[in-house]
Amino acid sequence: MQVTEQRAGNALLLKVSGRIDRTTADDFQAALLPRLEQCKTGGDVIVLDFSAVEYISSAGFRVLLLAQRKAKTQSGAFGVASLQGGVKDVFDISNFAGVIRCYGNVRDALAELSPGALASYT
Amino acid sequence: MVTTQSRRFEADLEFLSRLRRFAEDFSTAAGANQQSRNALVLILEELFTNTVEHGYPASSEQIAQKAVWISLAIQSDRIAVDYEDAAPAHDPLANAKLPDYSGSAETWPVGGLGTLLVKSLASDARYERAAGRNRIRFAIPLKLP
Repeated sequence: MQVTEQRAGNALLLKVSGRIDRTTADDFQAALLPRLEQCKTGGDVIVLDFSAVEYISSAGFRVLLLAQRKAKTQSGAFGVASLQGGVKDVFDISNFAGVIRCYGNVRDALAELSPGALASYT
Repeated sequence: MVTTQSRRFEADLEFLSRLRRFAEDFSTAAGANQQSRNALVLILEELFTNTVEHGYPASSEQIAQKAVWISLAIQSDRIAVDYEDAAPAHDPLANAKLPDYSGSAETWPVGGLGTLLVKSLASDARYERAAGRNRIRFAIPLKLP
């Protein structure tokens, strides 16, 4: 599991790749939660790009839930984009789309969460 | 071609990667597609994690074998799975349900999704207590859409 970062205006785009399972979930949490500190009104919009995530288990969902919970309590904007195949299936089973904002791709996410950042996204 | 394989794993998260490799190797050899392989690995990861973290009492020494036994078998167009542990009797499928996220964010439950994933992804999943073990039987189609 790897997380790489790209900034576009006030949006922090975090591209996650690989497997998020019980073995890697702690690393995912360590990479994600500190970045949520600035996810608040007037702060960073955070979008996770899941296009290269091959697998996620409930251990990964737990981290996403903690992240969304933190963003929500800070009135921050947080979303996940580009769910693929089986990963999308488990999001659907878990009804996670009802908890976390999910988008078809990063551009769609920025269009809704931060139109200003979309202009500087390449 | 091997049509049935059984393995015993120590109930320790250190062995999760071996369990995963066992499931991936078997399902690949069986001709399962990517979706099916991922579903099998996911279900076994959730069951194994559940056994390790909630099944066997951490301080209990009276259970001689803190282990998990997994048997995989090809049955025409699916893989049949037997998953067993010797933890105290518990049916993880019984209370599997969608967590309630309707309240404020502070009240959201952060657990409980694993068993829901198992129940949703596994075909014909059923639990029984036999010979001092919890046994969960289920199947995964070789070609999930």
